[in-house]
Amino acid sequence: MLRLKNLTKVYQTDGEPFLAVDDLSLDVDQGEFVVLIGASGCGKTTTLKMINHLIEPTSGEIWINDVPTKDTNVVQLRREIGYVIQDVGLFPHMTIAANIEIVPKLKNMDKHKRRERTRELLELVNLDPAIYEDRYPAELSGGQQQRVGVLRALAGDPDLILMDEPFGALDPITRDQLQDEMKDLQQSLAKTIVFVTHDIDEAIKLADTIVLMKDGVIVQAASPQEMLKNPANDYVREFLGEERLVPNADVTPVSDIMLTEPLTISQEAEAAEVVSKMQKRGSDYAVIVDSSRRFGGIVTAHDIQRKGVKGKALPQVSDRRAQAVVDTTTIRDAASKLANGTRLLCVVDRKQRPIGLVSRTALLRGIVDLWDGSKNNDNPVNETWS
Amino acid sequence: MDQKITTIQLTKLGVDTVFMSFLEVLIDRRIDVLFAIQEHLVLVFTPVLLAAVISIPLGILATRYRWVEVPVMNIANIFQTIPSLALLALMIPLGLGIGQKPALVALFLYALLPILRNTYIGIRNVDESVKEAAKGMGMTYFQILYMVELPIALSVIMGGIRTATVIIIGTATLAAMIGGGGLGDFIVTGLGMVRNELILLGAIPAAVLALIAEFALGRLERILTPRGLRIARDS
Repeated sequence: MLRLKNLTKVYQTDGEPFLAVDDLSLDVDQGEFVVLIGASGCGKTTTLKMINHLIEPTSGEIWINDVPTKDTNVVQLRREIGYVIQDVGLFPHMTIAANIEIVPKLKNMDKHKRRERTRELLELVNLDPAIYEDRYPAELSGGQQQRVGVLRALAGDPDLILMDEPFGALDPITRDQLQDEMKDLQQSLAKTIVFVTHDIDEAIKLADTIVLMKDGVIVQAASPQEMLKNPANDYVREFLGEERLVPNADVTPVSDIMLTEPLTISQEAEAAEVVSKMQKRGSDYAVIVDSSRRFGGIVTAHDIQRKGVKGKALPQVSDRRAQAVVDTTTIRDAASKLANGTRLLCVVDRKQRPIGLVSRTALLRGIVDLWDGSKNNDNPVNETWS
Repeated sequence: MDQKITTIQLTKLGVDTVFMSFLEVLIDRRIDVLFAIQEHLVLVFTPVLLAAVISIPLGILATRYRWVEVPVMNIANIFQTIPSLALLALMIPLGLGIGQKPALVALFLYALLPILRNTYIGIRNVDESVKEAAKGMGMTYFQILYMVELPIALSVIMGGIRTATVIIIGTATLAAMIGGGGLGDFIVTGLGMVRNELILLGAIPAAVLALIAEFALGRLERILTPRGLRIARDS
């Protein structure tokens, strides 16, 4: 989706050339959350700002959806890329709605459609449009302002969003909330995000891929789990911090402890067929999937026996206390869901396809293994559920 | 004791006499006064409007280009340092002679700086983050200027116009020294003939004009300040 090819940026400071970004190449997939991280001066912000040409690369190319950006008009290009900065930069003389509608307005979108979309967006982050659309930035808290900053970037419906330390100026509790909301938004809207931060905990929490930079080059690019498991060198190890390298429930994903290859059944399947499949697999549970193999609920044998009437659609008899989580969800987050009444978690990949199940038993076993430090990361716990 | 009372009474009587003769002259020469006020307004608004037309674009350019900023700000500063009477008098050796025209030129030069300076400061003070966001979202150079920078700077620019107007209303009374007309004519004549009521006939309307301008333009400034900025400023 986004491809950086041999990007280089040389600054001239007092006549001395300074190599800020050095022959950097990176591929970002559609829907991927990439976090650029590193000490200050490592070139992460320069890299980000080269993507929307706020900084012109000295050499190298940027391709978005297989088109090199230097062939596009830079103003048009920026309207197709969301941009969120640390200091928010809301326009103080415009209402919240007007702020959100800037890009749609620049793109000449119909006035009523614009306002409709603004209201949807405000509701997405739990800001009541009736209360907030006519307010001014000065009337909002820091956290609310940055929520609007994020909405403003989403308003033009860009595929790609660039975020430059967006939560850096917020207090820890607000930051935590916005991170959660951001991750949810990104997953539900399937946006590609390039995010700059210097906060490793933020990177671990949000990233699909962490790109650790030093002196303008990439030291390691990997998923948070992979980076924690196999840091490329001492610099990565030092940057991550020893305490994070020990496997723990805050960073280990549920995919490490889930029961793999769950029984899946089409949502059109007949009750009798489901029961027979369950018997063959010796399983009490089955994951319902739709025609594109996306998660549609979980049924138990008990559900079918009790409620299952012939002709009734499977999703209607599915267990209300089961829900889906993505494979990067940490064990801690999964545990809190299971502790709050959810009986069974279905682990899904980024395309919402089921890849495993986590029961309370599996979770407890996973936690015990983490405690013992005896867990073998390469072999997820395999058990036959009964 | 007696003497003291007499002095006070005399003083009181003196004031009354000046005031009475002022009213007398005012009623007597009301047409002249109205004419002088009209002349005075021309002496004020022509240079201020011209100065605004020149200074606002120059002020904006000065925030963009250092090679504009340095000479423009320095020259405007120099005009402001020259005493107003001297600047008016300088028009004569400069070949502009006497009358309304040289007065307009001198007052125009005098009005440049307040507007120029406020435009420059107003635009300069727009948050860097606001400008970065505007650019990053895909606004063109001119969209950033008229959708973001100018609306935010507008009240500061209006403040410059208000300051210039009030200053020029006062300074324009000196235009009479080079035959520029206006309310200053009464003052100059009054000084020459040692007739206080004539001095007042020029000075009082000039002071009232200045107060009205200050109030009206202050109101306008507030009306033109976007609501969001007023809230930001008050909180």
